[in-house]
Amino acid sequence: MNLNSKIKISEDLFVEKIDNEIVLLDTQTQEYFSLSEVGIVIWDILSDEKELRKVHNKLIDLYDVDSVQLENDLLNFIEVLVNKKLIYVD
Amino acid sequence: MILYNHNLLVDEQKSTKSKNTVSLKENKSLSIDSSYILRLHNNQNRQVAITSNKSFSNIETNQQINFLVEDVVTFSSYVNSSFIEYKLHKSGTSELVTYWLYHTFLPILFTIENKYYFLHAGAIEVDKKPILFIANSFGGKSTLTDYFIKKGHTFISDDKVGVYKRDDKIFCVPSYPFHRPYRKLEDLGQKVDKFSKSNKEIFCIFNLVKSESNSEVNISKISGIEKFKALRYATDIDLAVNKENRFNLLTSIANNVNIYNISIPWNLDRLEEVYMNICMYVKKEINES
Repeated sequence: MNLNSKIKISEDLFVEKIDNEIVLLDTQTQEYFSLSEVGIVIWDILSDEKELRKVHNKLIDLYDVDSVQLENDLLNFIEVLVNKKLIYVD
Repeated sequence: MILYNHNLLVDEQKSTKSKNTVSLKENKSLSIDSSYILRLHNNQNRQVAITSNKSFSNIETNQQINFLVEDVVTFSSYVNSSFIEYKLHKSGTSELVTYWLYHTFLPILFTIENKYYFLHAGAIEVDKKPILFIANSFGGKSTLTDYFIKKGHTFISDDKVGVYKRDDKIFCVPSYPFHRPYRKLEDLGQKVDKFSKSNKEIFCIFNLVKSESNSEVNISKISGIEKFKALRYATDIDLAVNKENRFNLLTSIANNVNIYNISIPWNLDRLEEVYMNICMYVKKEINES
């Protein structure tokens, strides 16, 4: 997986905001997860952009961070979501 | 009898049907189609099953919904028909039919019909405002609900609270006027005279958290995933139907109702203190709202 990868959000996932968090329920496993702060920002972008390079570019516009560091952090975050089967690499 | 905001008519004809009415009639030659099974497990030491003539993945109006209670009774209804038929089996009695109808089949039917989301909770009123108690198993819901009843508070529900959303407000429905402050199989419990007569907006929910017998009574507001967890755990009649609607309603409850963790010292001698803490907290919140 790299910035050229495209992702797809699982169709088994229900997503809703509760207070200042986003709650994700996997209806297959009944497991639930929450995202807060930067995770919410990334998830919002993922809802529109499927290509990780575009997600990375949008985050660079939002945060004053090193591009390589951001790439690593973004890919690590995506890997966690993939491992939980919340998203798939297309 | 009014149950879950529905008038139950026994042994009357289908033609009496109107909004918020459920008719119940015995049919000794009842025949059902159990091509699809939603759930089959033990309840009250009996094998029970929910079945239908059609798939549960997309509930349709007039889909047959059956509830089979081993050796006791089979209930059958059609979605949104407001008409229930039943057939007694070898151990069936009118008391057992009443128990399984009030306590289990009506909540199942209303869940499948997407009328209410059921929380496993005790509910009473404080200053005419509905307050719900949720907890883990053996977490003190019944004991606390019983204490409030004895203190003269209006009773809403013993352990199943039907909830629905209207205009961004979350309402609860009085279940039936019986309370069971003890553990006994297939028993509705004792009649409660001071029973709520109308649906009301839920004021708040207390999540009971067991604590050491000498610890303080603490009340703290929870938010985000903690609220979701508490409500998810407290979900009753957790059926795999209307999944998206049910998830949306659960998150709506979380977003529209204040939920508080309250630590409960595990000491019956301190119930009065817990009771006073809840009452004072609720009254303060009412005054500030």
